[in-house]
Amino acid sequence: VQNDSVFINVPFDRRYKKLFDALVFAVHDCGFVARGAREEDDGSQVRLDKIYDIIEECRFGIHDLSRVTLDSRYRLPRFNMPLELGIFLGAKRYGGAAQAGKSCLVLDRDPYRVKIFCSDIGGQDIRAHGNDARQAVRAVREWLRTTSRRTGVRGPTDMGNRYIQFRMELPAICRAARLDLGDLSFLDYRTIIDEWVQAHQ
Amino acid sequence: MQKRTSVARHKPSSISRTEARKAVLGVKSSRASGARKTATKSKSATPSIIERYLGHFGVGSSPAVAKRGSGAKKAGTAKKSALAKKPAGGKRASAKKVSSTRSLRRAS
Repeated sequence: VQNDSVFINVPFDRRYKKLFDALVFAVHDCGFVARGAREEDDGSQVRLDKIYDIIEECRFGIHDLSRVTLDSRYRLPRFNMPLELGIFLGAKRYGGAAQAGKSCLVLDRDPYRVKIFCSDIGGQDIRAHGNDARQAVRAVREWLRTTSRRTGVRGPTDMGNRYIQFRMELPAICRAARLDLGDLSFLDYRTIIDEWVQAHQ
Repeated sequence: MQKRTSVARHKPSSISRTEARKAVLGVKSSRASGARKTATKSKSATPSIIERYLGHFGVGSSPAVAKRGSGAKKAGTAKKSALAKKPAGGKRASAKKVSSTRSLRRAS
C-alpha cells in the first residue's frame, strides 16, 4: 500500500470533467498522487482486475456517488461507483493488516440521498458537494489533511487560486509540450500537474 | 511542507517528466517576464473564469445556483424574446402604412 496514493472513483463522462480535473489537482496540491482506472492502458487486462490492483495499492479513496441516478434510456442507475466503493471497503475489512489503514471519503450531491439508495453505508460520513467543484475540492482537501495528519497543506482559497492559475497556464503548457488540450490523457494531465505543483511551491 | 513523492514510480505517461518540466518552466518564465513588462495589465482570473473551472458541474443544479443564475437568465431571455416577437420595423412599418393611406386620400 502506498501511503500517498489516492484512488479516485468518480464519473468519467464529459459533464463531470470539471470536477475530475479539479479533484486531481487538489490531490496533487495536497502532496498526494491521484490514481484511477484510466491510468491503465493494458487491453489484455480485465477492467475489474485493473481496479483491484489500483485499490490494493492506494491507502486513500475518494468515491463520488452523485451519479447514481436513473439513466434516461434504460431507467437504471449506473452502479460502477458503488461497486468500487464496496471493493474498497471490502479490501479494508478483509485485506489484513496491510489494508486496514485504508481511509475513504464518500461524496454525493446532498448528505441524505445515499441513505435512501444504499442504507448500509448510511452510518458513514457522507460529504455533500451540491454539484459544485469548489465544495468538492474543499471537502477533499479537509479530509486529506485530517486523515493523513500532514502539515503544510494549503488552505482551500489558496488552493482554488492556484488551480485557476494552473488552468490558465495549461493551454500554453500543452502547446509547449505539443499535446492536444482537448485530448489530454489522465497520465499526461497528472504528469503536468505534478511538475506544475513542484515548480510553483 | 512535507517532502512530496513523485508520480514517476507510477505508470509512465506519453509525455516524459523532463518534457513536462520544460514546458511548465517555459510557460512560468514567459508569464513572469510578461507580467513584469505589463505590470498593471497582468491577466487576472475573472469570476466567469473561476466559475468555468471551479463552479457548478454535472446534471441538475444546486439550489444556490438555481436561485442566482437561472432566474436572472430567464428574465433576460423573456425580455429578448419579447423584443424578438415585435415586427422588424415595428412603429416605422405602421407609420409607413398611415402615411401611404394619407397620400392616397390626398390624391383622391
